[in-house]
Amino acid sequence: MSVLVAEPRAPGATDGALAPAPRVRVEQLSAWFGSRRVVHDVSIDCPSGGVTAIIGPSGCGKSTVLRCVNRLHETVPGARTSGRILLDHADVYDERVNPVSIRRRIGMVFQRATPFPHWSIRENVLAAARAAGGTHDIIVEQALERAALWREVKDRLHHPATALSIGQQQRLCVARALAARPDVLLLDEPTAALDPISTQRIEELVYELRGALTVVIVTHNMQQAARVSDQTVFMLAGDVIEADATDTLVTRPRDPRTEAYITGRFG
Amino acid sequence: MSSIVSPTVLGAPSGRRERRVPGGHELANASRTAQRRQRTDRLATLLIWSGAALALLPLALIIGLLLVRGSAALSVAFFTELPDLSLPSGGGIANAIAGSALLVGIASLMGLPIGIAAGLHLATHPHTRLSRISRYLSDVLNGVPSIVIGVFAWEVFVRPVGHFSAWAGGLALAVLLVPLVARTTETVVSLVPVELTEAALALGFPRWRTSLQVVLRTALPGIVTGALVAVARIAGETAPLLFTAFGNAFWSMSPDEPIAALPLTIYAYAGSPYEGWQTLAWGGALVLLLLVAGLSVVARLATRRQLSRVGAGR
Repeated sequence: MSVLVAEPRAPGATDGALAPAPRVRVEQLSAWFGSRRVVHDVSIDCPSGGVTAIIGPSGCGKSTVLRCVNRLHETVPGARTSGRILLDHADVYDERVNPVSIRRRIGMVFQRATPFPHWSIRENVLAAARAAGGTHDIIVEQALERAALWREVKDRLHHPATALSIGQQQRLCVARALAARPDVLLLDEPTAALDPISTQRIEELVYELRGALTVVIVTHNMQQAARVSDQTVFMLAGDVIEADATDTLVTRPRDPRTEAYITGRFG
Repeated sequence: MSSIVSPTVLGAPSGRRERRVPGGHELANASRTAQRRQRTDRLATLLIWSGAALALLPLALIIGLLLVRGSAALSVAFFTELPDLSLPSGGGIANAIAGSALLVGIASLMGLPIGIAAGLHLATHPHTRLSRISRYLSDVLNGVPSIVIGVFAWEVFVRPVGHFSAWAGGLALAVLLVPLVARTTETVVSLVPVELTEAALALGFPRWRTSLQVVLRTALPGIVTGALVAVARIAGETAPLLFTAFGNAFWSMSPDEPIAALPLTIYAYAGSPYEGWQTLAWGGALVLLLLVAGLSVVARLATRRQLSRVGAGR
């Protein structure tokens, strides 16, 4: 578990020759809501195909960092950023870059399940789907298979998405994100509202995706970070306190504040 | 075994507890309190019921009177013929029913798209200067007496052309419709969770696609409901039509000519000296009420379906 770069695995290799997932580098990122600065000069290096967990107490800015990666932060009125975020060598915040094209490469799953309510299950999966030589039927089946939802919904693909349980809805959102064939997957506390079994499914999925996608997961849950991630970043009040291989950070944190957090003394 | 032992074991220390067990008079007190509370409860319930009944009484009287007096006027001729003084029945008001439909149609075609688009803008860009100004103006416009709208429509739509017309009447109603629809659309669209918008943007949807396919589609039942209620409301308006559509005793489906309308017919015939026409006015009022009530019922059904759908998701 101490390796930062894992070997590529089968699930992502569905479209034949696969370009390696990009390395995501956050450089000197600051983020504001109006005049309030919530992220201070944060730098994080997420290796290609690895799973990076960002942990920290509520309000530490971890979700904001995540939302800067796909430029969702700037859609909030009054929000702005400074610094760079590089996908391999391309700056996400380059003036010439259209945020829409960035978001097509970067999938995101939120804390609350967000299926489009008046769309069917199938329509939801196909919302942003990119065909890679397959028909829509194949895309739907593959995406739902990868999200471990296919068996439960294959007979009611035309039912409204909101008829599913919350845990199923969340896996549908994962399938919807995967159907867009992203290079990077951002998970913003994806299991915070889920029961243990649904949580386990999502965690298994994250584990399977390593190698095929660069994954960044924000979580409250220290154990979850330990289970799914290669490296972990601990944030506090808008600063990165410590970043290390997950094993090291969990067992031998260097900073006393990290230790206090992971041993449950605050947060 | 323990259940047998425990009373003796607990006997001594539970002496304090036993003193708290209510005696006979305490029980009587408690039941008196309960009785008093029951009486108060019944009294309050009675007051609330009678308040509600009093509030509903005028409505029941209006509907009852309309049913009694209006249904006497209803016949096949009422819906198919023109007003005719020579007949004891007064003829029918087919022209007014058709005219109202045309006027409301013109108003809806012009007013609904503008109102819905404005409401969508207000909800998706709530804090821009344009939004603040148009929200304020919508509220002002919603409060303007409809006769003022009628005078405005006459000045703008009738005087330059030189004659009354269905166009002018429809436009006047559209002016009333726009702010109504804009505000209800804004309300239901802003109820769409921001997470849905963000999910769509995160999938790489452009702004316009997010607005149309996700936000508008999610809010659509509410928007339809708001639109139906607003259309029902303008269908009953008389004042804006007085100097615009003007009324017409004959059959006309030409938008360029003066046209009859249910509220105008009711207004004109209710004050006429002929009993046949007064009956027609009653019948017209009943038809108008049924149309408006029908629209409201459709609106309610649409809302209920939406609620049950959302409820299934939560």
